[in-house]
Amino acid sequence: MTTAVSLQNVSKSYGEFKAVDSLSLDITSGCVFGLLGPNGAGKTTTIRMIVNITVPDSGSVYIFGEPASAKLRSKIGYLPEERGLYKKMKVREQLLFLAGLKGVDSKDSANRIVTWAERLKIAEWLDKKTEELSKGMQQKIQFIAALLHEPRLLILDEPFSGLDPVNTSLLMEVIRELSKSGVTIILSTHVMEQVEKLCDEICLINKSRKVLAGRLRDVKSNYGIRKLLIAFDGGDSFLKDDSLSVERFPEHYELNISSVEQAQQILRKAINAGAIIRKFELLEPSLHEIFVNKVTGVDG
Amino acid sequence: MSKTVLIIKREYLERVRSKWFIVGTLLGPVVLALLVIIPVVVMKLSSGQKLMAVVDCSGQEGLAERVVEQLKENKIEVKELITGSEEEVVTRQAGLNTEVEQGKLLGYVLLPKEMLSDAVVKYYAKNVSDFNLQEQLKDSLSKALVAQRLRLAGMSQQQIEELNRKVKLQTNKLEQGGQARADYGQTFVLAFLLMMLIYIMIVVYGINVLRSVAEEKQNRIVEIIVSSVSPLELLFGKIVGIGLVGLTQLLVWLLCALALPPLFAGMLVSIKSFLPSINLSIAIYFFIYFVLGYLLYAALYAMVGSMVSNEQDVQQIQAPVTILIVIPIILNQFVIADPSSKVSIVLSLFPFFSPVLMFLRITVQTPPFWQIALSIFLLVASVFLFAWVGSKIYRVGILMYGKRPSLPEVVKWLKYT
Repeated sequence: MTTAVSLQNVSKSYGEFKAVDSLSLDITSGCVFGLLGPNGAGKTTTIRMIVNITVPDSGSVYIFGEPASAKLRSKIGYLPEERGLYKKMKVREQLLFLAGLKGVDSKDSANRIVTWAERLKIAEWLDKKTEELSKGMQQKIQFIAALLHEPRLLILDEPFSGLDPVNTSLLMEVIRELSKSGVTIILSTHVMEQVEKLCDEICLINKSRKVLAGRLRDVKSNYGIRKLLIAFDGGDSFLKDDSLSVERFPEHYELNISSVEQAQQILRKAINAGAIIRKFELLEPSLHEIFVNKVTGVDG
Repeated sequence: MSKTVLIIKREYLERVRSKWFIVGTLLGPVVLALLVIIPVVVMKLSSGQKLMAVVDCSGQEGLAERVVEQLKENKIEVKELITGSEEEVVTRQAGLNTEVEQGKLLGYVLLPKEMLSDAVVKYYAKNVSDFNLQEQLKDSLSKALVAQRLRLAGMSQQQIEELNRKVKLQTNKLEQGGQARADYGQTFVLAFLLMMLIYIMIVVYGINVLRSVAEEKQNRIVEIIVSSVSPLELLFGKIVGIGLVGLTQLLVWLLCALALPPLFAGMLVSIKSFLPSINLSIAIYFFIYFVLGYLLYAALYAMVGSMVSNEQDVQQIQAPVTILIVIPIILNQFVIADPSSKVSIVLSLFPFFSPVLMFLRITVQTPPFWQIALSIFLLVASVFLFAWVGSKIYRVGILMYGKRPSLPEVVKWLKYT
């Protein structure tokens, strides 16, 4: 397994404000990497340093084993969070221009534009002015713009915001295909469901520092708190224990537990109390919970 | 380099294809012509309206008639002439006062009994701060008085006219090599027009750069662009692309100016002597000062454009830069009046003013070559300096959103890597 992106002890400040504080992370080649964190955590600054728009104050950034530099830009595709296009330009012209800036010759990019526009179901809009397109359509155009030079590393900052469910699935499908074909993808988003559906590895940053990183599966199984789901008929007096945190739902109860032994204990108590168990399941923590807990400091 | 060419091409084509460019190119000469025609028309209109009355208490035969005649020479029309002793005219004077009050008369002059000996004339009017008019009155009255005295000394009307004959001033512009050329004010018209043209072009295209920078920042495409090219390449391409639009416009005008005279040759013959002729050296200097002035101001406009994040701030932040180039326009009168005074020399060497003022001096009265060379040198040095400072601030500014930065914050940006 080779490393596509490696950040080593990277820091960046703007005046007094430390945007990124000694951040180190490695992104495996060909994986989908989730870069997570609340607003203002330092995600955008981190991404800008990978794309070489900004330079770190200290530490080093390596892309495919080489120190980050302007000449690597042609290998990186970037869809920024705050995005825009030239409103007065026609879509096709605009895409040709943006691909040209990445060094693609116009004949190649003309073909690729048509292929991608068809794939994303937006081909009939290519000769319209950009300002006539809806926000979602413009977003698909920007997505295409990030792909036209066939980058080996694709960075997507909130790619699904503002897209309807149909287009969200379409884009997810394309992202999976790209990943399968060997493109390394960095995905930055607030929507944890999307991360769970797409990402192989994640890194959570908060207040400019890394708080959690690794393979998604490992992160989840290493995470202390688990959930127990229990559904039963009969009285719930056996759950009345101050040391238990219980959430009540119409059809079931959810309990935070710390170990498998604790689950066993609760099961024993339930049977002793004469409850008829319909469902008993140990749940993996959702990324959503891990995120909220880590960021609000409830845990860890 | 080819990426910069792409940016230049985009900036250039976007503008040249726009309606704005076509309308601007067509209307430009009209606006310039109006700049010359309007002051002339206003002067004509205001000079035709001077109505006055003369009250003659001097008891001098023929004096009042001479006064009326002289006033006429100065384009002041006498509506009424009242004669009588000072006691007799008191009631008539009250009537005149009302007429002045109502605006029917501009004012009236009263020639007192002792006018011949004291040389004092009374002038009554609502507005007594029109010094130009008062000079004309003094001039007319003095001439009438002199003529009256000469008449009393026994001279004939013909002799008096001979003595009073005015000097006609024939102006000749001395050019290089000591050649003299008759000049009927074309030099002034030409200098004024070209100065306005260079000023308008710098402001219009400078603000174009500002708008373009602010727009890319506002619609956030700038982040996509700088992930492909460096901010410096983007800024350079932008300034060159927009500057080429300006040069294209000038070229269109130049070609029209060259093509039109043969077409309208007949019509132009009559006014040909009034048409300024542009020689090659002025054209070259125009090019040099336009290009350098544009580059300097484009760098400044780009710098301030990169600092703001919304449309309102764009309006405000352009003011300091625009004022900088309006100052020499305000000062142009001083320079035209005395192009080689110390003040004129210093002002025209100052890089922010030299595109307007040094160029103006060149058209009015070509200064020593070392001054031109020095001003160009200072201008080029400033272009480099401000392009450097501007690009440093631009590079940081385009990626900074939120509130408008303070000056100390902007100074800090210079240190960012």
